Amino acid sequence: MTLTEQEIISKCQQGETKYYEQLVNKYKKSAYFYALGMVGSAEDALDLSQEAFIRAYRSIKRFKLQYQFKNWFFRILTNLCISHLRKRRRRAEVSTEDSKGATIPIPDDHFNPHLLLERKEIMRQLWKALSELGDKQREIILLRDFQGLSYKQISEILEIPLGTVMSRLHQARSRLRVKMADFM
Amino acid sequence: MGCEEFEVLLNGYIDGELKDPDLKRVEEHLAGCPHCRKLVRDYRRLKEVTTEMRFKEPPQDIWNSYWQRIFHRITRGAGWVFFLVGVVAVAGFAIYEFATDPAVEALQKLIVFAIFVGLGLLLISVIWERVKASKTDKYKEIER
Repeated sequence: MTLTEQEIISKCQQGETKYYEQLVNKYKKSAYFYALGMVGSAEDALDLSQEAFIRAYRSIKRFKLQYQFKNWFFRILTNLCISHLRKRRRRAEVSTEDSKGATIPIPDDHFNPHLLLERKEIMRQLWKALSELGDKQREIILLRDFQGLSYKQISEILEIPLGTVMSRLHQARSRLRVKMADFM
Repeated sequence: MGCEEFEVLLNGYIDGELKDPDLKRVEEHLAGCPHCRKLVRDYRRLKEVTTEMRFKEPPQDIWNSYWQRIFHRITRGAGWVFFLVGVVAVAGFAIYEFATDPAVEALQKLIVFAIFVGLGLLLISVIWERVKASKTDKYKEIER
């Protein structure tokens, strides 16, 4: 018998953990690839996507069935990714100080083109351009163009008004357009 | 309304998210503005490229074991709760039995009580120190 998503969540809310596997299987790939786009590391993306599923399960009793699980889950995942990126930046600042406290630049091996399926020049440039965007600009491009979500869904996930979705998307695409000028 | 104000709406336009009256205003503006028409072409091209970008799939065994790792973490949490509840119950029972045992002298009870109170105070002081230090510790993000 095939259960609807709401029925599965209802079962999970009653403590029937085995049903959660169906939700995980449904969203695991989009969660992993979204996290990969956000943090640019396959290992971190795997850890973050799984951590988001664990946190979602632990809070599932508080989930209201009239909302979409995907939006709620992606909010958890987005927050985890942003928090991870902040920690990573702080770590990089601390770990690159020499004995006198001066900063030593270290090569960043995240957002490597080897993570791409197709390594055409245009894709490499886009991947580099995405990595250079601010976290909030990258997240909105990933949600819209990679996950194919509507502005309404994005506004629910990021908890921002529709107008802000449009203006943030405009800022992100304007910056990407400049960085991709050679390919336009 | 100048081009700059329309530019924000152009993304809504290419994403099919605009409704009247904004949609009509943008269409009318585009009909007479080559600059914004060029922007629409660029954004459409950019969108084509971004939607085409794909990442490599991780090995199949990652997907196969994906749920198991989550399941173990979820159930481990419940295991810890049961374990801690059990430990607290057993410890409480043992303390009660020891404290009410008429065969044990009051002095012995006092010594054992002092040892446990001392250990408890030491533990609290270490935890308190760690909590205070973590607020200003710039190395706390470093994995040990």
